[in-house]
Amino acid sequence: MNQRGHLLTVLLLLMTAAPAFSQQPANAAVLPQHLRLKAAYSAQSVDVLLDPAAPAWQSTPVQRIALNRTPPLYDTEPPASLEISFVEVRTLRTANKLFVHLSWRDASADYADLPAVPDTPPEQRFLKEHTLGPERFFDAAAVMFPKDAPGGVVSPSLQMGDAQDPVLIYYWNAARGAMRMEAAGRGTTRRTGESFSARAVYVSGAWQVVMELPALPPATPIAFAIWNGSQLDRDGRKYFSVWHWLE
Amino acid sequence: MSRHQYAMVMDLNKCLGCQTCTMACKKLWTDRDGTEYMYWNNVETRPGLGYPRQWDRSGGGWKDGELQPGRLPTLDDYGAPWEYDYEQRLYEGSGKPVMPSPDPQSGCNWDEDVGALNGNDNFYFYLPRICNHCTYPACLAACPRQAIYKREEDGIVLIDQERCQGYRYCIAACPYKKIYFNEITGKSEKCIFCYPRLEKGEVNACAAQCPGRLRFVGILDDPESPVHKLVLVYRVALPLFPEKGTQPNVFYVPPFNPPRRGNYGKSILEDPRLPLDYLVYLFGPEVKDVIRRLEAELVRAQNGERSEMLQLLIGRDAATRYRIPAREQLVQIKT
Amino acid sequence: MSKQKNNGIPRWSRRNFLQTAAAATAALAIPGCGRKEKPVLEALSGELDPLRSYPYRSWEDFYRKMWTWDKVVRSTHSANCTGSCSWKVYVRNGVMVREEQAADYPRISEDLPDYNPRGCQKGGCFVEYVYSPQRLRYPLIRTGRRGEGKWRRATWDEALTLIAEKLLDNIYHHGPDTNTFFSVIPAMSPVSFAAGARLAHYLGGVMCSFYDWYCDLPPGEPLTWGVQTEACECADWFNSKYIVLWGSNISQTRIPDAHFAFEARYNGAKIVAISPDFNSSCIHADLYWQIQPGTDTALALGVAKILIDEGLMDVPYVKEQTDLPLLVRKDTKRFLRESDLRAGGKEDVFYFWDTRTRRLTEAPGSMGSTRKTIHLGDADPALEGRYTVKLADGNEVEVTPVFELLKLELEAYPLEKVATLTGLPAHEIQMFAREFGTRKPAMIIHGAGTNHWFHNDLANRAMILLVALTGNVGKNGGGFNHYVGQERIWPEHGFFALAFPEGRAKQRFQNTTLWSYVHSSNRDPHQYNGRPIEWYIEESVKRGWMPLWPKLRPGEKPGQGRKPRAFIIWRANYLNQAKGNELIEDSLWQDLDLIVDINYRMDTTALYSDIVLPAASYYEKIDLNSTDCHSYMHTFGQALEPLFESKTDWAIFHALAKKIAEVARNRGLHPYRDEEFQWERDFTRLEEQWTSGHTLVTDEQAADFILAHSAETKGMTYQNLQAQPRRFVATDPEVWNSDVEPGVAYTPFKHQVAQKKPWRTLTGRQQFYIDHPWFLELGEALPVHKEPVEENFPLYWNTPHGRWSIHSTWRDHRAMLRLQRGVPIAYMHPDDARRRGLRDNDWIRIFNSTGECICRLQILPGEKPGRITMYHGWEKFLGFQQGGWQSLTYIKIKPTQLIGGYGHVKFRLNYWGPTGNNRDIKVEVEKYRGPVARYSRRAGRTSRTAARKA
Repeated sequence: MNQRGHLLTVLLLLMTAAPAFSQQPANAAVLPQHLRLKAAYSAQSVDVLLDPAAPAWQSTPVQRIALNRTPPLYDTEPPASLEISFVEVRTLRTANKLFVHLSWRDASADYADLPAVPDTPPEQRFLKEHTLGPERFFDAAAVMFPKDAPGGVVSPSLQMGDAQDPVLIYYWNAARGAMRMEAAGRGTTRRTGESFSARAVYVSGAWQVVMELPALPPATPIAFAIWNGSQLDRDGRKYFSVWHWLE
Repeated sequence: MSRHQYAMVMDLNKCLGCQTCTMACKKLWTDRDGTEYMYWNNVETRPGLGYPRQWDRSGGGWKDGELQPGRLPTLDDYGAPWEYDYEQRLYEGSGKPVMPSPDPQSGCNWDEDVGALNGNDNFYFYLPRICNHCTYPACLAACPRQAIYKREEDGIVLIDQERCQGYRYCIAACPYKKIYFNEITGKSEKCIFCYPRLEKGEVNACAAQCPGRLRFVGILDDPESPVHKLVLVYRVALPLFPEKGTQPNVFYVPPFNPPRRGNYGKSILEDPRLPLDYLVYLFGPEVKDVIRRLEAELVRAQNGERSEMLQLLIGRDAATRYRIPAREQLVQIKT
Repeated sequence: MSKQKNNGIPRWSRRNFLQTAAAATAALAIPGCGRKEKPVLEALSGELDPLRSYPYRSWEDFYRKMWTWDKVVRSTHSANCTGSCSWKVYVRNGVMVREEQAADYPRISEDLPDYNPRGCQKGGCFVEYVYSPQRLRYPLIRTGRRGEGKWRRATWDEALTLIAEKLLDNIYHHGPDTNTFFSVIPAMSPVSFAAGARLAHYLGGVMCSFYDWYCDLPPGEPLTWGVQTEACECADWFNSKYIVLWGSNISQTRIPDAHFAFEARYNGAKIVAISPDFNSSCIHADLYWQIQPGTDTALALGVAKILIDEGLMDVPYVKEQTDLPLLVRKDTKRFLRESDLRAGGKEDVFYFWDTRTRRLTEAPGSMGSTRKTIHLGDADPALEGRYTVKLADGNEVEVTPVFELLKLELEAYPLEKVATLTGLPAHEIQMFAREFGTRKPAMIIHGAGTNHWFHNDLANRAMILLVALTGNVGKNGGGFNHYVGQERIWPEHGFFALAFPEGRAKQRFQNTTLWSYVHSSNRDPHQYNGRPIEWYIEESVKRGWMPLWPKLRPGEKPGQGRKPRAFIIWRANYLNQAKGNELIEDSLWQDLDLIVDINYRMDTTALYSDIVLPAASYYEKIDLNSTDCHSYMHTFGQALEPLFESKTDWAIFHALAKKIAEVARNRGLHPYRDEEFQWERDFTRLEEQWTSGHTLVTDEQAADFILAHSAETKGMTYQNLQAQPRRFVATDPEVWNSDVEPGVAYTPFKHQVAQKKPWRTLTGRQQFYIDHPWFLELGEALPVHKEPVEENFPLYWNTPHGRWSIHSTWRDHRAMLRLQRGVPIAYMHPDDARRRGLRDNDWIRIFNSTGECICRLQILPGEKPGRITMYHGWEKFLGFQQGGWQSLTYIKIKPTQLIGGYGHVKFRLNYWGPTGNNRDIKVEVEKYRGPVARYSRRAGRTSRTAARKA
């Protein structure tokens, strides 16, 4: 999905009365399943599943995953509060994909309609696209899993994998859309240049984001991260979960 | 740390405030999507707001060996680059004047020629600024991606436009606020000291195009270079805010205004129009010695004697002002 | 960063910068960086050490690709800045992307700083105009009211046919002198200027002046020196030891040249800046004077008095080179002439008293003298004394040298009085005078700051007096050097031959100030010696001193005759720049029934025209370019062929000539008998005439014609100049006053000072005494200080030239506006603002009895209280909520500038004629609380529809 389409979705849903966000886990029985993520099979189409408000997601069990805050990386950075303490995760499998539905409360929706870089070279246009907020950061979410999907209880370093166990990150940003990244240790994250399907809505003080992932085999370790733009979150300045394992 | 270091000296007593350097830089490097608000080279009136506003009070740099916290300037601090609705007035018969958007409330040169004190006591000067390509770059240290580096052959500090993730720790860390975030590409960008030009033996655009001819460029550790002579031999050029600890490689011949009303004939150091305290704030305490040296040389010249220092500052032609070694020559420079 | 938080994060490696080996700069004792403790910079773990080396450098091509191009072409700008800067235009993928100074002017000598790079920020972004919304792409014909901005696209054929028919109708029904042509500054693009001038010439149309109209002509130069304007080239500033910036803000208005002055300072020159505001040139001066506006003449005369009183005068120079020894009759106040001494004697032969022979002696070199030298031989003229002379009628009369009259006159300027009047410290005026008299060579760099006053001629003459008394005129590094506008073209002979092929005597010329005043509702309420200016105008026209077109018929007074009917404007922005803007719009503009503007951009005049023809931009044409600021010829070039449907000026006027001939043939028109010149004008042959029998068809042929017909450009061709600018090889002694000498900067009047050729004046000397009856009546025979012509408002309205535009060009240019405050601003001293309750960036209403303008305010501490400044040239259509900067001014003609028939003082286009001064205007200012127009655009956008926070 291109960035502009992604944004339209966000705007549209901000403006219309959207379904209320589920404040309570739909199924309390999910919670005690320690570090395990159940992914039921769904026969719904991709388009339906990519809609965060789709009924299919309403009926999918929720797992509330605790988030930790990375310690301040630099003395020079202002401290952040710990207002986002968990992310609610729903997962569904189709024949060849894994869909992850993330929802979390965030009092400020930090997003923007960033224009796509025009096809026409800048020297051939009188109007150039503008930077409007060099100081602003945007809300974001990411799912991380091993690049080589090893399975089992062995997991790469939470700090963006390591040289032996590189990781893939499916990263969604409220301004920049969805992008795939890979990393092999701290400070090595790089964009692959590929995108993936993701849709997001911000309703009643919370984000709901659906990402389309490859069909990860069972027992793949998977971890989550959330960034709050108004808290200057970016990079390792974020909320993160420990590894969980897909069932 | 690099084997050699490019440096620039700007003689503020030759600066016209004409912004030709600003425009030279803009048209070459920042006339693209996301870069319209950036002036890698800007010229600001001092004392004044600066570009971005209050950059000199926005933190960053080093203290006691440690990076200092810094603030990210907002678009209003830089000034929004206005667009104009020419068409409605000129071709569509609206009857309305052509107007800018957004409504101008701040800008990169907002307080041009303002300075301080009123009327006959007014004082100011122009301060052209580019990235200082510091010896101890705070930006480089602050980048968690290690996407900022110092070129080993010439000391130019660059932001890798492939590896940068736009985190902007570098902007906060730079005490000169000379890094800019391109929201369209999601990368931070800054003055590249025109390395593509230098590599081909052409001096930086801001220097090449400066009609005031106030810029001197060369290798700081090359004894033949004008920058070496001005900084290390004649010692008339100082870095900006040396206490920020990054050891800039851009140096300034400090400015002086004419004497105050009725003081013609007195020394610049005696009741100067441009207060020395302000120069000390910008250039450190050594500035007093430099001004004294400059004034003594000027007096000598006025008395018909020849001042080698001033003859160099005249900079009669490009060959005097710039010494750009070919890339392979860089390794042969003996310091 | 050094304090690590170990929360499961791997420890980072540490390294101290000081331990890094072979560091280039760490070992150097950098001034200001002498701290013992260097910062500790820690790199992250892994192989990367970006301080020392970096492995991922292939990305660097990202920026390398931005500095690439497919083609580079030399060109320049046809803006009236006197810059004449050679540029390279870079083309990539068929688009002009940027420009950079060519920086290849050959050097004059090893001692002089060179001219490179030459060009300013405006030249550095012209490319943006080429593709901007203002760029005119197609012929347009007005569909709405004039100025409304409603158009339809037309074909060239339709537009040219309309124009051709109208011009011919006017000639046959109303007379050729109802077709008026206006363009400016041939030097900046003589081929383009000549294109239209040549058409006007063959049509019998009226060619208007610009240099006097824009008040850039310093009338004191034609009066004193008999020249239009003569200044040294700017490299000569470096030769000076004392540079006085008087009404000239070189940092802003001479951007490519200012370095010569500030470099001269390092070479031992002192710089004095005289300006009411502490402007960007004053900051680099050794002495700054915040002078009271309008008192410059008093200052100059006060200094002249000190020079004389303290014996700082160059007496031999004054005796030989000036009229100060010439004898004046006490009874008539007129020079003693040969006609006074004997019946049938000449009116233009003059006398001094030779102290050696103690006899009345004819001064050599005057207009009537048989001796074509001013060499005194053995004579030693008296500067002082009173002598009795016997006249032809037998009466005796007392005579005395002009110098005696001058001394008497200067009694009115004692130091303390001058100090009070000017607001300057008396002891500094004295120091200045002593330095001016002893630090040689000394020069005055003069500009619009003083020249735009009503009494500009007096100021000019007083300042020239200073450099003449001290013997500084005609010497390298000295003189009175005036740089405003660009009046002069080096290859003058070739240019005139191209522009006015049948000779200037067969061309109708018009001083534009007079034309605009008479044909509009501008009215000067003042009385001059008890008479309105209309009386002087009538006298001047009646006596044939000043031309006025269309020509008056017997019994008609100025303003009562025929009106101009067609107005063709190219390379100029007449309406926007016209003093008394709304007055012109409401009268002259209403009387015109065809206004054609030929332009590359939609400026205010184009907007208020009937037909707009798209011209090639500066980078799409072939032409020449020169200036009095340097001594080189260089070229325009075609980086691209004319874009869209535009054509070069040469091609446009060629097409128009062809179309007129076609219409004339179709109508079967007989030749028009132009009685004035006894000229049978056969318009069916116009194209052959205009192209000189098809030999001047291309722009390049026209350029080569100029070069081939001028002594200055011998050996030059358009093609060889495209390779590199060349220095002029010689000067035409008919029009120049010095030679171009290899290795020496050009400065004027060496012919007079070194070679003793007579000055081009009535007396053959630098003439400070003008004994024309009007000068005598108005008390201006010698330079005298006169108060500004006050208006009944408290603030002077100051509209100087600034750095951000060349007149109106670049005033609407986006890249330039972004470096200012986006809309027109006026500057005011904080006290003046506070008194009116005004704050920075407020919208303000500036008004007087002529008009009003609504703009924004910037509080400027360095501004002089009692004055409000708006840098001139703002396009009326941009940002103003009402009016414009010329809405507050009106045309005021000074009677003495209407004279003619006095030796060297006679009408010549752009050389002698009333100046369109504007500095005396006064205004009041108040806060504007009315509505302000808002940005609107249907296409395009500036801000994305994004909320930062939901």
